[in-house]
Amino acid sequence: MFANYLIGLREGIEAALVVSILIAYLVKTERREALAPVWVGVGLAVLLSLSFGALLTFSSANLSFEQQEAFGGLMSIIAVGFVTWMVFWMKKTARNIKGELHGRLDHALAIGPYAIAVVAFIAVAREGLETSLFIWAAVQSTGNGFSPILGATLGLITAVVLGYLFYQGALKINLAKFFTYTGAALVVVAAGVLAYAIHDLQEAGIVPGLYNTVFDATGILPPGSWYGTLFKGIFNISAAPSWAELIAWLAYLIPVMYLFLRKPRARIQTNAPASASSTSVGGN
Amino acid sequence: MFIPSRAVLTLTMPALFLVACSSSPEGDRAASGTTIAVTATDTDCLIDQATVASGSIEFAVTNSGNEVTEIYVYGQSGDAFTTVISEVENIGPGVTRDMSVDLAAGTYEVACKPGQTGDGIRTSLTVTGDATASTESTGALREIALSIDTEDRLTGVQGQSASSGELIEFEVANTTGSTRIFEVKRPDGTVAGEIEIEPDMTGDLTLDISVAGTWSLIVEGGAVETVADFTVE
Repeated sequence: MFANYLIGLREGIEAALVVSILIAYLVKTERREALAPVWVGVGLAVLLSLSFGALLTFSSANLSFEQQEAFGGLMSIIAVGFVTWMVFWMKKTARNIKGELHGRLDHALAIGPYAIAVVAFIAVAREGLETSLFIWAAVQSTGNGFSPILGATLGLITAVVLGYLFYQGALKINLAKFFTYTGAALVVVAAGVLAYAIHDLQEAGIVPGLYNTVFDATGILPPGSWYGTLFKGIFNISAAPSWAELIAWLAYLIPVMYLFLRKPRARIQTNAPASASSTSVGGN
Repeated sequence: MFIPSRAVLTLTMPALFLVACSSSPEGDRAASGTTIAVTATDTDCLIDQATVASGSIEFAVTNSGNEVTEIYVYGQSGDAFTTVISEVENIGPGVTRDMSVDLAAGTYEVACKPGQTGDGIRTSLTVTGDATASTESTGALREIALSIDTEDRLTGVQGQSASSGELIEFEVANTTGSTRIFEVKRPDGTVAGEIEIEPDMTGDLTLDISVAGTWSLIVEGGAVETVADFTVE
C-alpha cells in the first residue's frame, strides 16, 4: 500500500502547491471573489481527467503511446509558459508593494480571473490524465484487494493537506516576501516541468538522446522512499536525467531565476502630471 | 459572469484534442485481438506467450511485486533493443493495467522495470506475419539466384517477386573481388536477415517472406551501398 500511496502523493503534490500559491496570492491581495475561478479551473481539470481516464480504462477506446507522450509533453510546455508568465507578474507586483498591502492592489497589477482559472486548470490537468489512469486501474483492481486504491487516495489526500499547510505558512509572511519566495519556488518547479517535457518528447522519439544519462543518483534519492518521492514530485528532477533534460533545466533555471531576482533598473519617479511634460503633443 | 465563455472553451480544448485523436473502438481490435498476460514481480517479467501474430496486441500487466513497476515494449535499433514503442508507468503493487500496441512482424523485447529505473528485466517477444500466411506457406523452398556485379549492383532481381507466406532462398553470388554483406529488410525497415559473402563465393539466405509490400535487398561493404526493391504481393 505504501508504494501506491507514494504515487498518489507524487502525482498530487505539484498541483497542490501551485494551486495553494494561487489561493494565497488571491487571499493576500484581498481578492477573495476571484477564488471561484480557481475552483472552476481545478474542478474542470479533475472532471476532464477522471472522465477521459475512465473512458480509456473501461471502454475499448485507445490512445497510443505516442499520443499520450505528445499530450503530456504539450501540456507541460504550456504549463511552463503560464507559470513563467505568472512568476513575472508576481515580480512586478512585489516591486510595487512595501511589506504589506494597504488597500487593494492596483487593478493593472491584478491578474484577471480568466487567467487564474487557466493556470489552476493547467496545473491540475498537466498530470491529470496520467494520475487518473493510475487511479482507475487501482479501482479496477479492487477485485484483488482495496490496498492499491486506498493507498493512492491517501497519497492524494496527503498532497492536498501539504498544499494547505504550505498555504497557511504563506499567509503568515509579508506580501513582498511572499511574492519573492513563492515566485522563486515556481521558477524551480517550472524548470523541472520543462525537463519532464523534454523527457516525454525523448520517449516519443521526437527528441533524441533518451539514453545519454548524465549521472544516476537513484541510490541517494530512491523513488520508493518518501523523501525521493517528495523531491521528484515537487521539483520533477529525475534521479537519472539525460543530457537534454539537464541542459533544458539549466537553460531555463539560470536565466529566468536571474531575471526574476535581479533588482529592477532605477527609475526616476516623476509626480508631475502628463500635460506638464514639454513633449506632450496634439490638441490640448 | 466572471468566467467568459471563451475561458470554458479554451479549458476544454485539450479534452477535444484527446477525443479527436483517440482511435475508434471497433476498427483496431477486430483484426487479431491477441492478449498477452504479463506477470511483473520484483525479479521477473513473465509473459504467457512468446510468439504471437502481428496486429493489435493487448498486454495485461499485473504487478505481483512490492515495488511500483512500469512496462516497456522495445523495438530493434541496430543490434540493441532501444526504440521505445510503447510504455505504461505507475503500475502499483496489486494493480493490473492494460497496454495496447500495434506490432508488425519482427522481434521485440518486453521490459518490466520494478522501481521504475534502469534497463529492466527483459524478455524476448517474436511477432510473426499474419496467422493466415503461415498456414498457407507451402513449406517448399523457392530459390532466387542473384549476383553482385563488379559495381556492387544486385542483378537478377528484375521481374522477380514473391507472395507473402513464401519461403525464399536467396542465392547471392559475389563477383566483386572482396567481401560483401547482403541484407534483406522488410517494408517497415526492420532487418529480416543478412549474410556475409566472401569474394567469388555464393551465399544462401533463407527467409520467411511473411509481409506484403516492398522489401529491400541491400548490398553493403563496398564503395557504395545499393538497394534493390523486391515486391511481395
